[in-house]
Amino acid sequence: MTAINLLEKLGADATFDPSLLSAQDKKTLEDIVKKANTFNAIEVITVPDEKEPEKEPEKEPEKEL
Amino acid sequence: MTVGAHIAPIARSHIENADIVFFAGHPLMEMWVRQMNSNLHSLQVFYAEGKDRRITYKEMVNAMMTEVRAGKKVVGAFYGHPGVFAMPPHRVIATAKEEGYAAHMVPGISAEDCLYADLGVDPGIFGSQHFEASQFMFYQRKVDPSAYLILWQVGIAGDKSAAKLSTGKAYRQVLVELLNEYYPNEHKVALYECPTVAMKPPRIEWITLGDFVDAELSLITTMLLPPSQKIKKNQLIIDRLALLDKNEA
Repeated sequence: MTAINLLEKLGADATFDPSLLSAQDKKTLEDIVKKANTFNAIEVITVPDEKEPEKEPEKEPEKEL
Repeated sequence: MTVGAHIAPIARSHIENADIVFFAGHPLMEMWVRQMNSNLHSLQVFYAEGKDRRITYKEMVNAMMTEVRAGKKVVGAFYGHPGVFAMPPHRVIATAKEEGYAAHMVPGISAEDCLYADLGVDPGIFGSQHFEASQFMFYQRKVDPSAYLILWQVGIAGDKSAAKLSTGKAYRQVLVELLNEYYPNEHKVALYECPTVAMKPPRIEWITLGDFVDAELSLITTMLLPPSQKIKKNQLIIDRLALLDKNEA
């Protein structure tokens, strides 16, 4: 089983007992996790637009009496 | 969020049946998803140090739309829930729809869901409010300190450039002082990160709010502030409802 398949099994199979992994498999997993680069997380950008003036809420039209 | 654990069957099916998959997430997750569809293109290539992320996200949308316009079945696979604190997925769907293409989003398990499970928090008990940390600083927001407060993206709190990978202690101090209106420095808060692989535990670090300034943060760190006040009864409304109950009886 490849390292990624092992990681998938660890995540998806509730019956999979990680203590049963061989020493070699454990080392393989630790190596792959260590070597994986950090990634750029997708973020939401909320910087205010300094050019745009603050909008006042629209006033409701006056009701006719 | 975690390899193997958090993918919906329908999401997996879309990935497997796509003509082309664009992926944004951890490299290990990318390796895993690539097994579902070998025609996978990483969106990480559009990032660069010091580059405004708004440009990066536009490029991501353009890359996906290019394939949509070429008539391909395109899937954008984003870690967590693609619609939660992620701009490109919403944008590309809106753009595709504007141009007359069918497009939709499949929900996923987000960091918020993992936080509730790992910290044993039920947002229904006291209520829960969520803000992106920088927006919380840039705009005047109202906080109910008798509900949970969850601040996202605290690692880049106060970044106006949209290009930083982290902001420093001085920025965090501003955030702490903003929060001091509702929470004292001794208030216990949790820093949370969901693990990418099941063999790692989640990061759950309880610190005082005052210590947040010196905490180690990453782009995926989320801060949970439990209530600092008890919820207060609204006796006026309770009495009104009691009258309704009496009239119905």
